[in-house]
Amino acid sequence: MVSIRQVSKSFGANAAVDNVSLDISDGEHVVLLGPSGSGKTTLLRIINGLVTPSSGTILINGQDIREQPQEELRRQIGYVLQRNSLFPHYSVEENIGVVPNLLKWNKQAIRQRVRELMKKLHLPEKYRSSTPDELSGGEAQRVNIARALASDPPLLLMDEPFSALDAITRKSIREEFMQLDEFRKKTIIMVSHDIQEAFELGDTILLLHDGKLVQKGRPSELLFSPANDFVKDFLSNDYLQLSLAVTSVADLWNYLSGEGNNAEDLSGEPVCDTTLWKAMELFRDKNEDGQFIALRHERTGEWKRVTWGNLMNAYSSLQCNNHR
Amino acid sequence: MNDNINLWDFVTRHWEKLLEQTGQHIGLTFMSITLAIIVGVPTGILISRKRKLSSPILAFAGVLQTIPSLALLGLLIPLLGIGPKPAIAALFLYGLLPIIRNTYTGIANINPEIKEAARGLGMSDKQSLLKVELPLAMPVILAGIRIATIINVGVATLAAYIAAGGLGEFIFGGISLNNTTMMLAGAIPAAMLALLFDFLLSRFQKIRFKKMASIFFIMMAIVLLSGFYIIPSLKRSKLLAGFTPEFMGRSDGYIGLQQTYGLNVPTVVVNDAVMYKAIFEKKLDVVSGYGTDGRIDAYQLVSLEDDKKIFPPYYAAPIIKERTLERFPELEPVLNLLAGRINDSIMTSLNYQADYLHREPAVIARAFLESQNLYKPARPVGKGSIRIGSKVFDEQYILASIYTQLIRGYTNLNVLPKTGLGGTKICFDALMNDQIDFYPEYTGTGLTVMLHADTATVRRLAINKDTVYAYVKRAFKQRFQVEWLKPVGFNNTYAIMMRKEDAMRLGIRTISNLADYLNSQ
Repeated sequence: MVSIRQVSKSFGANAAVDNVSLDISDGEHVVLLGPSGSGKTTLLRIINGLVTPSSGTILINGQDIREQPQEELRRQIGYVLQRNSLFPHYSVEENIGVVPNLLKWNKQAIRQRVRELMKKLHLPEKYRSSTPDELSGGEAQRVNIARALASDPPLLLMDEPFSALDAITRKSIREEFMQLDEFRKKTIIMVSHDIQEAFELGDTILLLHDGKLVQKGRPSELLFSPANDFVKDFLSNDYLQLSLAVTSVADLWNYLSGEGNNAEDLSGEPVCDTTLWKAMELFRDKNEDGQFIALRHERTGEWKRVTWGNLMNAYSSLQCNNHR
Repeated sequence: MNDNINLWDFVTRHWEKLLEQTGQHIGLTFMSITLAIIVGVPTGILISRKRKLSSPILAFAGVLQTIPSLALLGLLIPLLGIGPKPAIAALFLYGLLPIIRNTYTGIANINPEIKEAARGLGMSDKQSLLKVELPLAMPVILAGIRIATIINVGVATLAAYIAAGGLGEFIFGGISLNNTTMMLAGAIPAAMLALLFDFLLSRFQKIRFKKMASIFFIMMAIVLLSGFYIIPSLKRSKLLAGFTPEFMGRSDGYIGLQQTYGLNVPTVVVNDAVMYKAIFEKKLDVVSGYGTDGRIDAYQLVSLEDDKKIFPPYYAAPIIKERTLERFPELEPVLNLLAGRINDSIMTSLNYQADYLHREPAVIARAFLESQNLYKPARPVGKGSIRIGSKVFDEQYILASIYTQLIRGYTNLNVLPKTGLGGTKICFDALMNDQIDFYPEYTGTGLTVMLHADTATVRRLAINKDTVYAYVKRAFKQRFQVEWLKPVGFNNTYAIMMRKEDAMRLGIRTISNLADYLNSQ
């Protein structure tokens, strides 16, 4: 969907983006990760033409972005900014309807779409005529996201969309965000400096350093096969948590000694089919009397009933295997 | 004119005039502000887009605003003549800076994230400007318009100096005539206009942008239409007279001309600083002036003979508080050194050197004193100091300079010049409130302005210069404890002047001739 070909951008003597090339396929969720000053925001802004690259080309669906009027290009791309970017003189409804308005949708259709998005993003109907300064930070960011989604663009660019929020709000909005079908089917390129966020949201992570692309890969690839010491060091502080988060139940399956395989036996137990981290959270949330949780293999649909001990044993076996 | 009436009586008596002036004042302000908005807002937008232009344009608009208002009006007369046109042009130039600056600041200070959002969501530059930047900058822009409006309501009073009317006619008339009631009758409505406009604009700020634009266009249409009403109102008939605000209100001025001569001429109010230029440029045909004015010759004017003797003698003499004379006994003989030394023709030539040759008053004063063998180099300065006042015209500056050099040469007193005080009222108030110690005043002014002598008294005394001098000397002593020292010698009485060529062509020699000519057709 998006092809970046040997793109560089320098501001004066500083190379903000240095010869980056990559392809992003339809429906891929890509996170541009890196320390501040690594060029990730500049790269994002190059994609929708807000920054003109010093050299290189950007293709969207095979077409060079410079070959079409910039405004029209941008109306086809959803864009979520960091914060404070809602138009303060517009109501929530007008803010969400900005792009459909620019695309000259009829009023009825805009109204309909705004109502639909507000519902999906859990914004109460009564906020329609509120102004941005009447909203909390979390609400404002939902409006911001709704505004980017309004015309249902196939490609969505997000510039640290959750970074201005407090930790709790951030987590809950992020989770809602991932569950929305609006997001699941879109190609998303998101900038983040938050490693856990990147691991949670990204199918693919692009780690940038000093304007250069250091490694591109699935989260587990970055974690378990770092391209160099920079990648390793960058992830080292969060290593344990990240490894729990990237290890799926399916990864563990062969190491798990648990009983079960029969759906009837599992009634009443909490079920997990995603990651080890989620499974551990289920134990945390359980009251003392139960020692078991149920795991389900997401592809085969098999069930296992496991204890905390089973889980930990399986994880250490997997680690040994990985390092071998 | 009698000012011992209260404000209410004055207003009821002159309400038609007051209404007319208020209308003119509103018209001037609105016209100029509308023009300033039409030019200023787009300029502000332009420099917010092309930042490189911002410093030179803001600096230029800033310089315009530092030009003294009266000087700006004077500069515009050769281009636009007198009347509302130069006044509107000047007010327009004054209004520009706040409007340009606030438009620029308003747009420049919008949160960059919001501008980025507008661009990033696919707005074109024009859409971003109209949908986002202007609405967000509007409170700041309106604040600039409010400032410009308030400034212009104030500066528009000066329009009275160049025959553009407005409330300044009463204000400056009142100041020069020592008539507080008249001054307030102009100043209070002017202040109320400023408050009213400010209030209306503050209401305007709450209206949403879309509505605002349409209201603005309606307003502009009204203003431009009213402009057509204002501009031709200065219609030319046979002859056009321009008189100073002071002359307009004095019993021995325009009122006397009407009553005694039956003079009936279309008249505009104009400041004496621009009057001579205006008559020379044929924007005016008849002006009021002073007998010893150096510009009479310079501009080829002729002074008409006052054949029915309505102008009382205006002999100049220093006036000083008795208390000051007691404190500095050495002062009186020094000031009296000048008594009788300057006759009409000497004063006219001194004025000519200043008005036309633009020589410094101090230089003229020294040359004069040397020619009279009165000049002495300055003595070392002792303890006491004397503050000399003067009104704002060259003759007064020259006299003040002469007195300064005399006091420095003959006494050990220090001299502090406080020259350039706006008018008779300001000068005299300064004297009474101990802000200055003395200034040169004219007997006729003392008689009519400070003592408010009625017409009968003026008639009775005006036959003889000595009786007028004796009358004011006695009355000032009694009423104000102020002493008139010996007259300098010249008589700077009022004069009615025309261009020499016109007077010759029409055979006008006296004011009676002029009245006959005007009434003949």
